Amino acid sequence: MAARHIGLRTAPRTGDEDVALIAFDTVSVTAGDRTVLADICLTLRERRIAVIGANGSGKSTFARLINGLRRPSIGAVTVDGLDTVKAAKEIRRHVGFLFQDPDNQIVMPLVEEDLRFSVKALKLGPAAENARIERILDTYRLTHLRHQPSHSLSGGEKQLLALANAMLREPRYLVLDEPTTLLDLKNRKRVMNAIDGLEQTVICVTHDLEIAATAERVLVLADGRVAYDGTATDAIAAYREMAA
Amino acid sequence: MTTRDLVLIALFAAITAVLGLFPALTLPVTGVPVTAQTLGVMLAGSVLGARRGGLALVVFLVLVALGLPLLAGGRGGAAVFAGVTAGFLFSWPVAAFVIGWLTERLWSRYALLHAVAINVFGGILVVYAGGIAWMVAVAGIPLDKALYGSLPFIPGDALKVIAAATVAVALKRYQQHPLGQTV
Amino acid sequence: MKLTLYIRRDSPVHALPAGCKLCLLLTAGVLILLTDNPLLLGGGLVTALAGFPLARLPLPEIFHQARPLLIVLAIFFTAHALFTSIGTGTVLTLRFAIMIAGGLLLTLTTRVSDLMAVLERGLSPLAPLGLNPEKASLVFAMTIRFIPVLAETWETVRAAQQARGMDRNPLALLIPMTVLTLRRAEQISDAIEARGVDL
Repeated sequence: MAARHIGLRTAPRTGDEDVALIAFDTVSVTAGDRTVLADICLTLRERRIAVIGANGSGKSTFARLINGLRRPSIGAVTVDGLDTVKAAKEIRRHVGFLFQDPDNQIVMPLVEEDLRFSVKALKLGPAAENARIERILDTYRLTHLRHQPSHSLSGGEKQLLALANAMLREPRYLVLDEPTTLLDLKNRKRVMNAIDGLEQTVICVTHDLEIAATAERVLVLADGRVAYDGTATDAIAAYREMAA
Repeated sequence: MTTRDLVLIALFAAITAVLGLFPALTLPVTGVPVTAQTLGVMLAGSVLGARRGGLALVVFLVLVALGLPLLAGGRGGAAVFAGVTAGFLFSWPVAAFVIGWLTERLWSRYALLHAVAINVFGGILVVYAGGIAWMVAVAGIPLDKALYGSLPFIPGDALKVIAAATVAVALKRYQQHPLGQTV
Repeated sequence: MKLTLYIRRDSPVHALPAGCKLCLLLTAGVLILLTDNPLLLGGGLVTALAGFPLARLPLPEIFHQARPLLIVLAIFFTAHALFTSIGTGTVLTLRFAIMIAGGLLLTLTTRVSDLMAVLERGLSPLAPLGLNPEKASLVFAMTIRFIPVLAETWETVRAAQQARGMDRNPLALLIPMTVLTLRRAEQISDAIEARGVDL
């Protein structure tokens, strides 16, 4: 068997579902007198998108705009036509989010409790909630850890739990904000393999060029603007040139 | 209460617990053990303000009462609220609230001197008033004995006042203080 | 660092509802204040201790964990024996020992979520006063969840300052620790909101 690469491999499409679409309509974000993002106009329909750029280039804010955690100061972001600010509640259901530090995304003392906390918000009723928790524990191979304290998990297991939490709500999109930065190589591979297999549209903000290299489309952010937008090979080359 | 308020309350309750993990520092001359835990009381009030600071300590004490060994020395459970010194514990949320209330009132002028004064009042006077009142009223200890028994702890508390005040003022200076962020 | 909580076992003590155990503990807390008889209190302690083997808990491990508590009790007893009387020391020490054993047993055999549920039920009459039981139990759970995380942060900060020779200055630890905790609070609230949890 050929060695598997780590990355944002595109899973096969399952059917003729509606075309997924994230749109930035002249979006600017300012914090105080500082401009974080300026004039972003984009339509994203690819299934695997990577966003790269230096620290402070606005990557994290870009990611948070997609699920309404940050509001645009000017302009609007829509996901499948839904405004991320006005329809925040629905957006959260359709857009899963994985943060950099798994410790900050797990809020319950035990693994299963943490999943239950998320699934309760869906108000599915006890039977359906349990079924969904069982399934997600199985999918991410966390079943043997279900009664363990969250704190006792390894970094990779914590990040898988955080991913399981995001996938529990069966979102159509998954936004990742540097999901592997704090992980060692082995755990990074484990997490990326799990993400590889997803049918969802994945937008990954990353410093990891190896991951970016496998995306269908790569955006390079610099000083709050899209400095390059294209295929992985071209975008990474452009990014390397900028950094040189 | 926003989600952020709830998280802040939980994290400062947790900080108070973490401060209890440190081995007690024994004061040189008096030989009295001083734990860092009341520093959590002063920090919660000085950083979170009255409502959130007071609630952080309520949360902490409820968890102790439920049996979690979060007090310095791994103590916990209902017994600690029946002891001779329980008044000190009960005064913690009040002290954090008072410190927070005064901090909010003096916020526009808040500087090291104010911070120290506020923490002396809330972190020492309020706590000792509660603790000593309990010793006298509940445990039947004469007032003078209760006072003398408490004195050796004052130097340690004074150090904690300076620490908490410095942290709060530093946060304000770096614009990281939650009370300065009116979101 | 381990915040020792629940140890999973199949036992009658584990099976007892959390509310029941909590009530028993509170009742014990009141009962022990009603008697000065060392024999009665001794009997109480034996009863409480009997709960440990009944709960099929790993006794040596628990003994190891409880050692600091036992040392404190021993000091407490010695102080009373020296300065008041052995009788008073015995009674007070037994009372504390009973409550410590009971509290430990409750903590080891009861899931935090179950205790939280009891608390939630206990708090629900207060809902009209603006106290939201769900929010309250979330705060309790988060506190437990983040104690080990913050202890680790503290260790990291200490190691970093030690490398710069600044670990003897408490402020060099406290200020970064507080700043990091406040930053963590932002990220945690973002993560909760991203989960679509309505609070």
